[in-house]
Amino acid sequence: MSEIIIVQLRDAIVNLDPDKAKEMAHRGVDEGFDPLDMINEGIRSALDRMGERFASGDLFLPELMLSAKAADAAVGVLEPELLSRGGSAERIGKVLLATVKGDIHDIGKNIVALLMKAAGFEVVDIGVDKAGEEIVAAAKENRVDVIGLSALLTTTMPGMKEMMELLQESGVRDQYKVIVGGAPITQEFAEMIGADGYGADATRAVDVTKKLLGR
Amino acid sequence: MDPWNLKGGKFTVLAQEEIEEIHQRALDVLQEVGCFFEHEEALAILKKHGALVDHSSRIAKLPRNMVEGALRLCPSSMLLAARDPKRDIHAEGDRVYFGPGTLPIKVRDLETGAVRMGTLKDCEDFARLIDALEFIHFFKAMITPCDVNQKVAELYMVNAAYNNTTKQISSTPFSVQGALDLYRMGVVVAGGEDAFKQRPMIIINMLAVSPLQWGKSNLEAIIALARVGCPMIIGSEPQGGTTGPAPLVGQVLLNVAETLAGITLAQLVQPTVPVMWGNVGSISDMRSGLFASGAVELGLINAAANQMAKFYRLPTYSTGGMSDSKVSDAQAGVEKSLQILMTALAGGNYIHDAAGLMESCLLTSYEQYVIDNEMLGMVSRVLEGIRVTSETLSFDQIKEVGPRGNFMGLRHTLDHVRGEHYLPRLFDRNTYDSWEARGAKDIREVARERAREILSTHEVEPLPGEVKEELNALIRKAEETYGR
Repeated sequence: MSEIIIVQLRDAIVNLDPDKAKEMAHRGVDEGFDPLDMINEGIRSALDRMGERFASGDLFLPELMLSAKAADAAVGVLEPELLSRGGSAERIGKVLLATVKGDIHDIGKNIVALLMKAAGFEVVDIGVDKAGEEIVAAAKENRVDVIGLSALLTTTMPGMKEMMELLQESGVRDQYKVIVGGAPITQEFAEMIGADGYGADATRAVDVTKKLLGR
Repeated sequence: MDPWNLKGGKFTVLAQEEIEEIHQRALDVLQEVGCFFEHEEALAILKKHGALVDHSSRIAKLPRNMVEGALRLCPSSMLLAARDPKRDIHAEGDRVYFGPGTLPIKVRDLETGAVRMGTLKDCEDFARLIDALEFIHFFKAMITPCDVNQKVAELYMVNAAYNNTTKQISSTPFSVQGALDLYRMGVVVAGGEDAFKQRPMIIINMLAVSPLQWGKSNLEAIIALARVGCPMIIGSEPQGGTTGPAPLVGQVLLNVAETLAGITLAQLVQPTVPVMWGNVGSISDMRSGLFASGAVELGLINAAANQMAKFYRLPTYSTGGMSDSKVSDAQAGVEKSLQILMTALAGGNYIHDAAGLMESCLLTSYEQYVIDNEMLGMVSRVLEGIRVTSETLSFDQIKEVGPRGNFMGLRHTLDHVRGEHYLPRLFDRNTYDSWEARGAKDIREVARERAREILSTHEVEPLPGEVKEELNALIRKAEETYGR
């Protein structure tokens, strides 16, 4: 019986159906299932499957986005249950994302955020046009593991270097892994500014982040 | 064939009533949804002229009559002056001109074949190459010099262009100061502000960030450049599926609304300031989210955008001739040809990205420029079409030769072969054996040889000494002011 609900929850997410996902989450709770099991074996495994299919080119972005929405609908039911029992969902890491100062292009960053969430990361997206100080402050405040920076313009790339220097100066460089990405960014540039990783595209940004965190 | 007198306008993808529907819906978007303007002065100007402005969200809703009034002020033709007046661009009607594409950062080195970051030397060499290639009409910011102060990199690039080609110059600014300095460089080359008004020596482009967002520095630049009367390209670059709707017409609608918003602001600041309608949209590959610069849909989108711009009687800035390939291969040839054919036949006046671009606009190469010049020559021939007169119908010659003769010995054949047949400069039409006897060279190798030959022999008329010095002084001053 338990398997059926988990399978149906998984199917609801894969079929991009938030109403059904929510319904299955409620039913699971009503029937006394462990919310953590439902999150791990239902939701996570569905998102992992979607992530794999996307990485191999079998899915379109909107499918990934809509499956994440369906997953959120179920998490919205399960998380309060989990918290009320004193538990918490396991996250594989917390990532702060920002587009650097002077740059208001955010579609690349948004795609990375989507893929990061689908891969099980907690994502704090502080938006566009962010100065080094704002990024470092947000990283401290949110206690993130990883800082991910995005730029589309060659002119705003120096903002990444400035943030790296700021991390050094404030003595917290070793507390974060830093990844960079965006159209003009290259592996050489990432190494030059001392970043820990570079994602040539969104899928690779997720892979690099997992590796950096030893996952 | 005269490469300086090309005309398109023969290819349409929208019916007249569809054009009018898009126009009406774009006015609805601006009036009902509005557009985000990240600049207080821009919002104040729009408000003063009747826009409904919400200062907290920075969204301005533009009434229909305001937008339509602004449109009526736009000049329908634009002179873009070149150092050599024979190379002036007359952007109007169905006239077609080709230029290179926007700011890749990587270059395939002509000698080593390795991919490396672009340099100032590349800007100089590419400008000289463009000067020599007969089917490329203008220089558009086409490689980022990564080895100079990035705060003024566009000034270095444009300086290299003025020094190394007498063709017309266009650039994207990297900042508001950059936009004004580019204008000042144009003024220096023109010989003063009054001379610039007669013969504007630069056009500067400003793009919205889709959807419906005009950024701070672009708005500040539009206001500043409109005040001094500098010609501008105003447009947007929605990517279908991510920053624009997936249906192509939805994306065209979004581009129309965004472009109208920018043009309206420019006309409110300075009535009749020359603006060019910009559409550089394509689609995202929805399997990755990456910009699909070589997509065949880009040709359709640009053809539609050209029809919209012609409906508004505005000169057009379009895109065509890009590829996502990493090497000059069959993919590059197919993607580039299909796009450029559609945009050129649609009558794009100022078609950039028509040469040199690879890999989502990130990579360029010398050999690709030479190959693309050949492609543009062939497209130019297509634009000429078929001329039907009693002379070209050749009835008399068919009668003269009669059954079983041939046409090789006729004066008529000699008279018409040059005008009627495009003769490739690069592509090989020999037999296999004769191609092999000449070294069995791949087209990339032939193109590299041609590029080397041009770079080692082609000379460009130098700028007058004082102009050269004044441009250098302008960059020095900019570096002192904005730092390194």
